[in-house]
Amino acid sequence: MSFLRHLRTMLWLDLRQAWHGRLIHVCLGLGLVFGLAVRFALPAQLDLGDPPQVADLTEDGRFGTYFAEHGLAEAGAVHDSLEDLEAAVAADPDAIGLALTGTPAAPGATMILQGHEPESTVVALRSGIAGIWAENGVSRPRAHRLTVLRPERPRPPFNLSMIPMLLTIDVLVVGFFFGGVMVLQDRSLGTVGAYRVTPGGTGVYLASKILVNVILALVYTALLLVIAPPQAVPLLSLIAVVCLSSALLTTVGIGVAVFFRTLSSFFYPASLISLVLSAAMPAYFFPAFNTPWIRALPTYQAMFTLRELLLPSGRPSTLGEFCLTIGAGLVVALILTTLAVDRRLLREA
Amino acid sequence: MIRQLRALLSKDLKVARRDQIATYTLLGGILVALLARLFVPFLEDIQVTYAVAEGVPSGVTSTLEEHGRVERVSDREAVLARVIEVDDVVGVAPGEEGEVEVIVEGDEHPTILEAPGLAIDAYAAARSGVVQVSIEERSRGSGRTPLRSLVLALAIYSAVVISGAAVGLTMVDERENNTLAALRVTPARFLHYLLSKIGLITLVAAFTGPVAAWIAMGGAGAAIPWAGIILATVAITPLAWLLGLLIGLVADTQLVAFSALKVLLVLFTSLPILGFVDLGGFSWLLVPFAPHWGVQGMHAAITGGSMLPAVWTLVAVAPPLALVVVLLGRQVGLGRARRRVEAPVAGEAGGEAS
Repeated sequence: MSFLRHLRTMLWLDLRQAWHGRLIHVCLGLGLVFGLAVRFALPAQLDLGDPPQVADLTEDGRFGTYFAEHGLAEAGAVHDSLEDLEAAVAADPDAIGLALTGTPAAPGATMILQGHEPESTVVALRSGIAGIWAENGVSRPRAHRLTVLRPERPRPPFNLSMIPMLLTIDVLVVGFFFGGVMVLQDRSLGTVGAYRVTPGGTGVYLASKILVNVILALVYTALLLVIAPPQAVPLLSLIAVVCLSSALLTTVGIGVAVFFRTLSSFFYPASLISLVLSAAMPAYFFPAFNTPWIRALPTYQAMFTLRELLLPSGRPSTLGEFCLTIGAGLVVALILTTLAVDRRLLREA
Repeated sequence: MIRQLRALLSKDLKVARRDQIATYTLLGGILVALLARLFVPFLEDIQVTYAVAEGVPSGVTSTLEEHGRVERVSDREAVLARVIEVDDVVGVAPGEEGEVEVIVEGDEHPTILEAPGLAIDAYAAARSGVVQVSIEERSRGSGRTPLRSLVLALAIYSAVVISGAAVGLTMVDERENNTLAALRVTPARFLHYLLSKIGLITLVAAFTGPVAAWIAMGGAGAAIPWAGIILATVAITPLAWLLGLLIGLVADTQLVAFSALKVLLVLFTSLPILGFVDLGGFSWLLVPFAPHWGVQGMHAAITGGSMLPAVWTLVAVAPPLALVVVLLGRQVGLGRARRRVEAPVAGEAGGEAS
């Protein structure tokens, strides 16, 4: 009972500190701004890939209709000569040029590359050119059958797919920072010295900081999801993911911060750790980017678990696996951080 | 003035050395550049992963190895289990009547949906003796991808700009430790205080900009456009001043400083990415936004483009910087205490004269 009483007192003090430190204002402000951006500013469809620049140099001009059907003529990507095509490719460092030549009996093509394309892209382009000719007069056997596991589930809208990323980066990674900064603020204001002579122990001190950040994470999440509703909101699962992830990263943040004396000295190491945690972002937008070290990041797992909860694709749920992994990580982090806080902060002479 | 400025700068350097801020500030920018250099190759060569079951013809597997990464698994069930994981993996299993079954989830990028089938058909066509497409390849010889230029520009720009953050945080430390109150009884004026702060930021930026560029762009032996990089660093440095002084202006405690940083770093280092996206009718919104021009200036330096964006950075940063300096001057109040002390003396003298 006394633990709960001490925790309540400490929690109240930490919440007041978070209010005076504008942490709550920042959470609410960013939740509001990002929510409005997702709802009203970001487009539902975003295709970052430029269409190829093309030219139909065949004797009978057989690709005119094909180019029109694929929207290339409308996009201004069709050129009349190889010189025009080369000029268009030269003007855009992202562009790839493709001129189709010859006849169905002797099909040909000229690829104009920038020179920086990876070999796998060039190989894929060669297969793609053969495929284009196959649709336009060159007969060839079809050697594959495509099985689509979930044809009824297309890619989610781009704007809504930003929500899991924003929740991960702006709520969970910030928990890492907030936790650390609250400890450093306590140290700077002499609160730690005063706390040492109170009956509250390391557990109360740590639990209070974690709870404050979990509350902030839940408030931000609620605000963002109210302003920009995703396709589904499974409340209990969502709360479990946000609470566990926020608690883990806050605990790690506190564990790291006790080794520093001021926010200025904590800022850069913490920024670098945040930068590494944020490396999961490209993998979220390009899921083919799946190197083992990226997949091992807690932010990678949190992002995709949140995506499955908020924008369900029909995949089997990974929630149980996520909770077990992050839960185990939290237990380890709590043990190590409790030791670190006890030895380096609360028992410090 | 020079003596007072040197004394203040020396004090700031001592504080920075004591708390290892200087080390972290210098290393921070360099590490950002190093991370960018290590990370970009991963991004440039994102390959599709194929989960290929036993029994798929070895020629098909070899063809897929040219197109991406191949993970060999035991059977179709294992392929299905791998495909439904969260990352984009295309499954390939033996099909009926000599066909190969390509298994996808359905929400992959369109190119990932089409590419494996095209590759397998091209392989089968080559084996069956049907007419082949004769392909000529021409290369423009450009070695640096647009993505690389963008990431390097952002990394070098960020390395320079965040050097302001550390100095901003030391200003908050000064306020918390009452150093400012002590300074008010010295001959130091706000101009000295301001010059010592921006002098320190400039020293750090002058180091981190070129070093970050050297590391990010390939180190020894790499062709680095030094003139453009130095010009862009000079143009970006006032943005670092702005960031540092803004933190010093709005934050009275470390906690508030962090809250401010959370917002300011989004403005200074995240939003400029919008300059590389087609915003359609909204692109004019970026015109007065100095961080946008800063990143564009560094990007131009790297790609050998026009350095006009660097000039625009200086123009766009001037009004907010002037405003922050004025507000900071009022807040810091250096030089006023002495005037307040001197004023009654003057009043008394006037009284006696009358």
